[in-house]
Amino acid sequence: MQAYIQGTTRLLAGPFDAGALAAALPGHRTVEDAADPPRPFRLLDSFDGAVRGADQALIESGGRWLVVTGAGAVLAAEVPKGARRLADLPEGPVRDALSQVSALRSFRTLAEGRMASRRIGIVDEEGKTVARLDLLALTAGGAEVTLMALRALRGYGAAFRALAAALPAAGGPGEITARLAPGLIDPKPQPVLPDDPTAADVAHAIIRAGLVTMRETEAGIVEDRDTEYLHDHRVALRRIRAVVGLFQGVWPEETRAELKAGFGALMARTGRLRDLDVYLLDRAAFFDLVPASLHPGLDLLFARFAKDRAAERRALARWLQSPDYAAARDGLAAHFNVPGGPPHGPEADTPALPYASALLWRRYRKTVTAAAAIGPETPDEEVHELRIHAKKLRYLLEAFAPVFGPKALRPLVKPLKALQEELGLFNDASVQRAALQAIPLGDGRKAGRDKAGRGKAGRGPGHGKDDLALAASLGALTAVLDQRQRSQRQRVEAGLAQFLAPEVRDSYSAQFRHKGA
Amino acid sequence: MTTIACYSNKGGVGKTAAAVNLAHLAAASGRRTLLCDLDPQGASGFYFRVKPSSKLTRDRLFTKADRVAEAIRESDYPGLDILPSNLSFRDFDVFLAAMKNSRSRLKKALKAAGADYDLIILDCPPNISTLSENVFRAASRVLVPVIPTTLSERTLEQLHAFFDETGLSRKKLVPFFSMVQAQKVLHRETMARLREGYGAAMLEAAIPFSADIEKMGEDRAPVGVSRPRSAAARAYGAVWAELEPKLARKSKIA
Repeated sequence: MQAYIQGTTRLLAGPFDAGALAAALPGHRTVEDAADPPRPFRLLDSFDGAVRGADQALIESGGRWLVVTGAGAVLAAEVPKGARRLADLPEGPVRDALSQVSALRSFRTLAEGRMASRRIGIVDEEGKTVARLDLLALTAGGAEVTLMALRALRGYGAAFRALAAALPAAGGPGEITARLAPGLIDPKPQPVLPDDPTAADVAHAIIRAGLVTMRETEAGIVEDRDTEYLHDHRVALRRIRAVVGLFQGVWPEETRAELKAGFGALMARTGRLRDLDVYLLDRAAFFDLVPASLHPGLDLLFARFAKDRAAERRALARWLQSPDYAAARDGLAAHFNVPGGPPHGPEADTPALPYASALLWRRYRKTVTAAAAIGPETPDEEVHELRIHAKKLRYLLEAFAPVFGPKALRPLVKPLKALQEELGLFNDASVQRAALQAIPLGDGRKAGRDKAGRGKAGRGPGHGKDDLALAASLGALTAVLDQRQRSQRQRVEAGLAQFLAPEVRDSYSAQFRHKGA
Repeated sequence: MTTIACYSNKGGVGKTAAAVNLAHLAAASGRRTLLCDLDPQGASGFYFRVKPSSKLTRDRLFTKADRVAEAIRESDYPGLDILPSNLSFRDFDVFLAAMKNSRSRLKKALKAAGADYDLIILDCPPNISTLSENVFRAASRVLVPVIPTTLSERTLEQLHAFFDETGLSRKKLVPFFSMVQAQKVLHRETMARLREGYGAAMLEAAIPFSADIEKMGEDRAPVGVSRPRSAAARAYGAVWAELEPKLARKSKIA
């Protein structure tokens, strides 16, 4: 017998009770057709809950993955042992069903338990089977859910309909997760605002939510489950730091400085690893940028990236598990665990709406001024400054979106987002170019040197065959990125006109101007 | 879609038992199979625990082909469906005689229901009639169980003559020995004579007389299921193995 069921199912909260069937069809009885012994299973999802977000449940057991879809279908696939990401799955319906899960994210275990499958036959007075019921019972931590698939036999439609009507349905796949993994912490919670929030309420809610994400991502970074744990960790820190940096007057200056320094220090520890992750993730794109003859040099470059990355990851893992980190993190978090939060500054109790309007209008004006000043002759530094202004404006729009209402700020975000994308690409090219130029050559980790530091074949450091290959590739990459940066700069200038258009100004003005306290 | 028939002009020769067990073996081999019980005594349906269909009256089988589909019942065995008999079938001969183009009707009705099947097995009533003739035309093979006695010899000759007279190909006929009691001299001698007379047309495999087959009425299941290690089960397996290559290609059960 198969250890899983396929086809359309419905869910039962709890164990299955045959009594309901007997009542539906008088004179009929149930027989046990087949039963598999219980075996272990795991309930899986990505860190960001993409599986349950798509109204699905994902189960792993005995080398198979089962997807229970919102429509009640159960899809199954044999999956190699140790599969952690979508790319590890064979092509097929299971992989397709999980397409909304990011390819970069690994699957983690939400719950573990035992699953048992049975097939029951419903037979009439003659002993003829009129319908079959496949049952998959999942038990974890004292809770149980049962997936049922009722199978019709041709010519016995009336019996099928009577049974189908008698079988209760508890809900969708979300019920599986809710029952088997209760108390699951949302790792990326939405900030919770009280009614009529003040500026401090908004600030503290965002920071508290960010602290949850920081906490929840630590294990994934330490265990190197995938690159996105660190990314999520940094995004959370970024949001916290944006609040600390931009929400003026919410705290006394002393408190603000402490928060700024504290969160800044935590962020600083993560930058290098993230940079290396991004290089390695973009590896294919880099190879596409230079001709094949220079690829060996790139291989060396990326081998070094990989080695550095491993070292950085170990260092960060050590840091995250250290008492110093725990003390720093908990010390910062303690500010927000106290009822009422940290000490109040002059603007703390200002109602959020006027506070936000004033802040947003000021920031918008600064962004517009910076944007309007840019022309073909403007130095690159000013373009970078504009990027910073735009970023701050965006953070404020996102932070205060719940206060204004979910849809109110969308028309304002749209043109800003378009500008930010162009600025972002410009920045990427600049940063990468600068980083590549900073890579030292002949630093003693090359194949061209022996243990005593002497170059092989009598050559000095930095001139071995590998060094030349690396240098050539770096040179080519730099030239390409340089060109890219320049053409991207032109695109930025072209995109500014859209952001500076009168309609955009009018929409910002209507929303924020003269609405301050 | 291939159609075969189980036919005998006499009752009690193991015709229905053969239809039942061969249908089960065919389905188990991966062919989607429909066993049609055209015999008013309705024994093959009984062996599968399927109640006779009240939906199907004689005229409906031939005027409304979709009614056939409604009357089909899935058996308890994968890939095997049953079209149970109906007492009204006994009036078929009279009815068919009155119809024009009656010979092609059965074929059409079966085709309409048969879109789903790789193999249709017709369990025929024990008589010569318009229905039988319809069956002979619709089937690509006609399995004829023969108890190896002198009387059976004559019956088999008459059947071949009938085929000749009505322009049906003798090659369709697949006679095989049934209810064989090997210890009886009469049986052994008759078998030798018939093999010599009919040559390769007679199947090598034969079904022994068996209490296990008689007990099918109690077990209400194919012997391959209820008594898989019996001589009877092995014998039906041998008949199927010999018959299978003579049929058209199969397609797998989905």
